[in-house]
Amino acid sequence: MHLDDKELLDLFRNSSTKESAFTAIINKFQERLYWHIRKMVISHDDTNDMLQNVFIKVWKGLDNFREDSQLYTWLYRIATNECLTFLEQKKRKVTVSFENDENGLSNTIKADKNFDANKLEWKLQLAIQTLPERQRLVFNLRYYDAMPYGKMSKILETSEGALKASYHHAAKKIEQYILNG
Amino acid sequence: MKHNKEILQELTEATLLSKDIKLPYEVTTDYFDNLPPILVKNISNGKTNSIGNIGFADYSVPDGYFEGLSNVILASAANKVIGEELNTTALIFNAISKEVPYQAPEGYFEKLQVVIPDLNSKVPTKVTSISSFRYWAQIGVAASLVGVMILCTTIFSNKETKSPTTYLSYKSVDIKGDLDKVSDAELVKYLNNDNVTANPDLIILDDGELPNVVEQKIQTVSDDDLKQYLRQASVSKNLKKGI
Repeated sequence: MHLDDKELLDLFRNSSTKESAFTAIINKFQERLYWHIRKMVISHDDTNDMLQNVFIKVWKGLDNFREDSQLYTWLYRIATNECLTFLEQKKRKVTVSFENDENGLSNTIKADKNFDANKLEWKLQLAIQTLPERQRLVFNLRYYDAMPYGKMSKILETSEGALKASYHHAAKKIEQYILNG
Repeated sequence: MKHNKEILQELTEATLLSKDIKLPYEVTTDYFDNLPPILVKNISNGKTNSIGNIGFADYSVPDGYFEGLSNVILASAANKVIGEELNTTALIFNAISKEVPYQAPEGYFEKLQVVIPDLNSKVPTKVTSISSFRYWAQIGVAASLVGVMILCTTIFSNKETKSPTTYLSYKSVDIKGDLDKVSDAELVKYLNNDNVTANPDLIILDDGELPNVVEQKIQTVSDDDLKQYLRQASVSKNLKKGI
């Protein structure tokens, strides 16, 4: 059984139990954060690097966590910012090197050893990659993680109304992509 | 009415009420015979709160079932809401599994280790990857090209941008004040030598733009001299026209 956030934070703030609390935090949240990042960047290796960065940031910043929000909201926010920064850097790199890599993430999906173009699950993944990054985040958080708009609003710092509209548009676009594809 | 009677007749003939009713459920042999002594025994032992204590079966729930139950119910309710949300938006999602098709390597989460940075280390290690050097080199080249283009644009468009500045500076010049500083001898010398003022026909000025110096010079000329000048001018014009 995992400890609750309050217990974890208390243990983390105690220097003698800091490392064990940190390990417990990793064990509690690693899978959720991994899949949150993986759905955005697709590649396992990139996800692994980013997950490491996220937890290093958590280690450095958790002492200053003010508990205004839930721990997992704070962690999702760090992971989300990591994703957006990574994707932005990747996009810039492609632009500067004049590489033709517009469909980079789609190509990564197609390169997956389990990829099956006939399966709707994979088509859905390809369709999701056609969305703008923030819309993709909204869709993933709502569709896969069943996250309430209130929590999402704290992570993405966007109003609930805008998130609802974004999710609605994303679902429509995905449907169009799958039906026309 | 006749039709209804026929239906009632049919139902009466077909109804199971006229035959032996047999339920598909079964109980163990002698269940009812053994029930009273078991109940009495349980009551005397103080076990009165659940049927599970009667002794026919040992029910159990997984560890932590009740602790996690509220989360399971909430998640299920959220999923239902999200499902209904998509039913009104895009029906295609009813046909798609919610499972993510990607896979993490086997045992990845069990083996995951995060290298905790040593915050007490005073010597930061700077790692410059080749790819980042290449990136900045490309940025540098692009910036130089943009710089050259901006410089060329500035140089070649200089003539156009200069004229309004010159005009404005011209407008701000205090001609009268500056001319007062010039001596009469210098002024006369300039007027006699300058190509434009020496040939008044070449001066093209709008009304009100006549420099004060010309007005001043005219005022110094006597009426007789002016009449003589105008007469000569009209004669020379007539000569040019061949009159």
